[in-house]
Amino acid sequence: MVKRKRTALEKQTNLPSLQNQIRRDPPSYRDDFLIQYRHYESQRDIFLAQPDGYDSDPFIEQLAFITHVADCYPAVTARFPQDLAELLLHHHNTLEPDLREKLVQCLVQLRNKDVIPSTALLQTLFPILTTTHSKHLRSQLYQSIVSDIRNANAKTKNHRLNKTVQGVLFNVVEAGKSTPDATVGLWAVKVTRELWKRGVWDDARTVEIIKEASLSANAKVMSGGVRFFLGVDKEKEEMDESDDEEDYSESLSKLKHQAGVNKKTKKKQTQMDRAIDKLKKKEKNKHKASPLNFSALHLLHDPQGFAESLYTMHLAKNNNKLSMEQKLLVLQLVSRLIGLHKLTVIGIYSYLLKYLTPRQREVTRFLVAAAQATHDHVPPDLLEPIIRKIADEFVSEGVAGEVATAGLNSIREICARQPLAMNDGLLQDLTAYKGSKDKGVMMAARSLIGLYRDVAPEMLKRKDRGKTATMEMKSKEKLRFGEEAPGTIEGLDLLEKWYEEQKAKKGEEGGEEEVDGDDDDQAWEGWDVESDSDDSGSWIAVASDDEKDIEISDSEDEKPSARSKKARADDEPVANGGSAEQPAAESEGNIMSLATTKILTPADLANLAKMRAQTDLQKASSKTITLKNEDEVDQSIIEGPKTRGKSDKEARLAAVMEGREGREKYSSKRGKALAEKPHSTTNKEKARRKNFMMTLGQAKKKQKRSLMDHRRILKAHVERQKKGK
Amino acid sequence: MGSSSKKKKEKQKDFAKPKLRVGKTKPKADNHTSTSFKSKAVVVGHQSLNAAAPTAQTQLKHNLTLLNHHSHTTRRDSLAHIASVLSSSQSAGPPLPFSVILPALAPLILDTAAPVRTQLLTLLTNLTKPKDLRQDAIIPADAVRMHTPRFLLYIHSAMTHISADIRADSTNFLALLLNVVGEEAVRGAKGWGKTLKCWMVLLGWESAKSGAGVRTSTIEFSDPGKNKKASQQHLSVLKQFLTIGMLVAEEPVSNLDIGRNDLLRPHQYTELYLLPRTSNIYAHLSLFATSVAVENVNEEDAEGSAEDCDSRKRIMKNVFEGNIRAGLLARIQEGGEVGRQAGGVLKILDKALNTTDMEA
Repeated sequence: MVKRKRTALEKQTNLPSLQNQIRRDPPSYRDDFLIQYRHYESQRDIFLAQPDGYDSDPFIEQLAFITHVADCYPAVTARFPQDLAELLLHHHNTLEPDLREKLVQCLVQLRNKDVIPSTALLQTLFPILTTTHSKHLRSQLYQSIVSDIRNANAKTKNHRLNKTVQGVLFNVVEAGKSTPDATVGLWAVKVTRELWKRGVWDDARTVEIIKEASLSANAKVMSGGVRFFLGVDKEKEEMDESDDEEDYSESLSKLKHQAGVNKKTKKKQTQMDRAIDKLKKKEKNKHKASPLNFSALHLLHDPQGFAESLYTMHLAKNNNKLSMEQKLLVLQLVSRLIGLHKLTVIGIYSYLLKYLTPRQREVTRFLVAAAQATHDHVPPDLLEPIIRKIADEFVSEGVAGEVATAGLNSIREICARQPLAMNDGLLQDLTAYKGSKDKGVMMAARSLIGLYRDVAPEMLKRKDRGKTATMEMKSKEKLRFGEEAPGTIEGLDLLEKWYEEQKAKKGEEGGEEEVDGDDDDQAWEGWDVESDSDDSGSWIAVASDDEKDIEISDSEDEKPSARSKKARADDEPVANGGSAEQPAAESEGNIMSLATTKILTPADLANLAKMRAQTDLQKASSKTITLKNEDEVDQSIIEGPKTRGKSDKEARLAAVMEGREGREKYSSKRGKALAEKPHSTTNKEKARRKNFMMTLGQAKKKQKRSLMDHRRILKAHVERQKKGK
Repeated sequence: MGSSSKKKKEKQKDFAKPKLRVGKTKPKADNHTSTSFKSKAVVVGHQSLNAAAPTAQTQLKHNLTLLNHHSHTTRRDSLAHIASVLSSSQSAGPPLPFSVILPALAPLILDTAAPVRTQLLTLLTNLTKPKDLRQDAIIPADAVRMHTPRFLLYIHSAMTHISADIRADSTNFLALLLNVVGEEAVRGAKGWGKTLKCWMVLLGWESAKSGAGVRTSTIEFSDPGKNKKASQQHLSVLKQFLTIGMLVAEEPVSNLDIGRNDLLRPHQYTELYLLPRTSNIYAHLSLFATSVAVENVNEEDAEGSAEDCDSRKRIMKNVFEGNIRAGLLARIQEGGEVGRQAGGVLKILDKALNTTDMEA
């Protein structure tokens, strides 16, 4: 009895023990907590009376204590979070670093305990992030902001929080948009970028923030925004890949093996189960297509307006504040936008013209931009000066091979996107370089020939056209500006060919017509929901109705059926790319025949995908040019193959020698040790420098040795070796 | 014959050209002599003895810095030194101004070592007490008055400290302050409302009114002998505190006193319309403070303006009276010396609050 009383009235001497007791039984220790809370208040007042030169250790301890138990006494500590926030907001530049760090930690901890909402935390931290002078505090704040948003979005997307935070960020960016020295937006961009990279934010609103940032007057903010558009997708992909690698590291087979070898305990079993669950989950996630995986560039509202304002703001007027590198970034983004969305920004072509000389720094990037900014809606008379200038400046006898290669390659890239930009005379001049000694130039010229064989063989010289192109020339129509090729389903011809083959096979067996109908039904099976229903008999009747419908639609010319339309919507309606790949010999009606006469079953579509993948593989191995205006132009395509001459190797060797200088030689340790300490000549050295005449006699004797002697000597040698002497 | 490889190498070494490279230290010359040395101790042959001793001022400065020393004996000794210096320098004034000395002393109220606190208390009591009627105290009351807010801050902190010993000593300092500066110590939000709040938690009466009773789990009862003493002392200081705070000291009135104010005044409330006698009476509004937000002014008006007796009574009635009464009654029921003292405090409380009732 007495003992119990005593334990209940234990002395409180330090905060951790009190904290522990409070956590166990909050109501009983309310008074003790109140004392501590008043103590905190008085400490705070002491601090406020003289913010600098204050010994903050007890205060830090007090803060930690109250933060830990704040959720037990919500009524008493109602003002506590606000106090902390205000301390931080008003004194963050004068506070002692330790105390400042603790304050941020406390706020984050309160957030984790759900004492304050996320918005309150972010509203406190973000203003400090943008105004503080301390690098350390900034990184701490940045990390806690990002991790807080990540945690809030961990299970499900917290749309309300995201919306408010994005609103705050947007306002921050927009506020500093017109003033050149406001770097506040930089942090908004950084936060947004990080969250995008981690897949927390992936909506149009996020892109809008960055869009606003890239139209900012401040060069740093602007380049941050532009870099986001140029690089963020790649970063995201890399991030995903690295996640995947982690999965493989702890593969199931390894775990199974371990389970077989090691001692079997309950703990191991649960570990194993958990790992299996995890792997299964990962597998499921891998196959699940993420619904919102749009590229940032695709999520832009009004790309035309964005591209135009980017161009007029950063490039068109003589904006001297931007460095070359920054201008190039903007140019890259604008050209990419133009290519991707098929925009019309007329000014950019004349702007590019100025920079297209071999002496220009980073000229390959300008060439890349020129190629990217080209698509089939650009009027040829805008591109013609560019091609003319490249041809004049880069492609002539007087210039180095690399320069000519770059010129020819970039002309080819431009013409692949807009073939009408070229005229016969220039093309024939350029193709004359196919006989160049320089490999790069020769290859570039040949690829140009290859391109025009496909597109417009009549522009080439007769001998350059080749056999197939000459044969196709008659059926080929002349290119006209603005003409859209009719949409097709990629690889449909392959499918048709495959059907014909199948038919031929079955025809040999006999009973052609019946087989055809049954085949179709079989192909649908398992794909439709209705096939699972009870009355499968009625389903067959419906199917026969369907076929009739198609026959009717066939009589109306070229009206695609509903299902094939849908199928086309799934595949992207490729206009120029798809048509370029089609063999031109096939007539239009022939191409579309399958799509208009038949409903493509899911089995057909799967088959089609498989065959297309095969041909793609073939295409990749054969070096035909396939171009899409959506894709980025790689700089290495423009630069051509790199060759290393003899001089290069010499330079390499020189570099190697340079590296060896000053480092100790690789050799045996014994040798080095011997070289350092003074020693008498070793036996080896003696043997090496023994007078030649003295060795002669020995050599003669050796020759005259009998076989027995020789054997004895060898044996003795072996013996010695064994003894290790 | 030059058969030794060593000799050959040595010979060649003389003619090897040292390579000079950018970014590397220059190789040492052959005839380079290292002048660096290692020694375990630097021995000074003769120690210089300065004839002039450090001045009292520098010594005092040094001792003030020693107040932060980690060893408590050093802190205590430096306190003793400061006391001796101050008491000896009576006529000439202190070597350093009090505005330097007093703020440095205040944090020691929270000192963890009991001897240091005792030393501080004796220092302050001795030096603030006038030796006789003709002579002022060594530390004049005005100097202490200047630093009252700072002392109050640390007293509040001590009254709520987790260590029971520091809490027990805290009221001694409060009593000292009340003795020296009188009403100044209870003026304003800091002096009245805040201190009362600290009293509530110190005595464990925070929730006495609501029926939860006086504190349940605490330090106060864990060490009965010491505790009784401490609570007696707390109650006596509380009595003093309430007396000074709420009862106007009535001056002995004589008709012959020319300085008697009442006779010279046209109206009994004239005082209210005159210029205030104390400085900064609107401090609680914090009109000129930079960070307004952290001063929480109205938590049930507890820390509102408490510049004069009436407003202090109002705050007492509005916020604290119930809790104090409940707590005091509980103490009275305990009986003994503590109960008797509690009764005394209750009387003061009744007297202060009843007079206002009668006036109103």
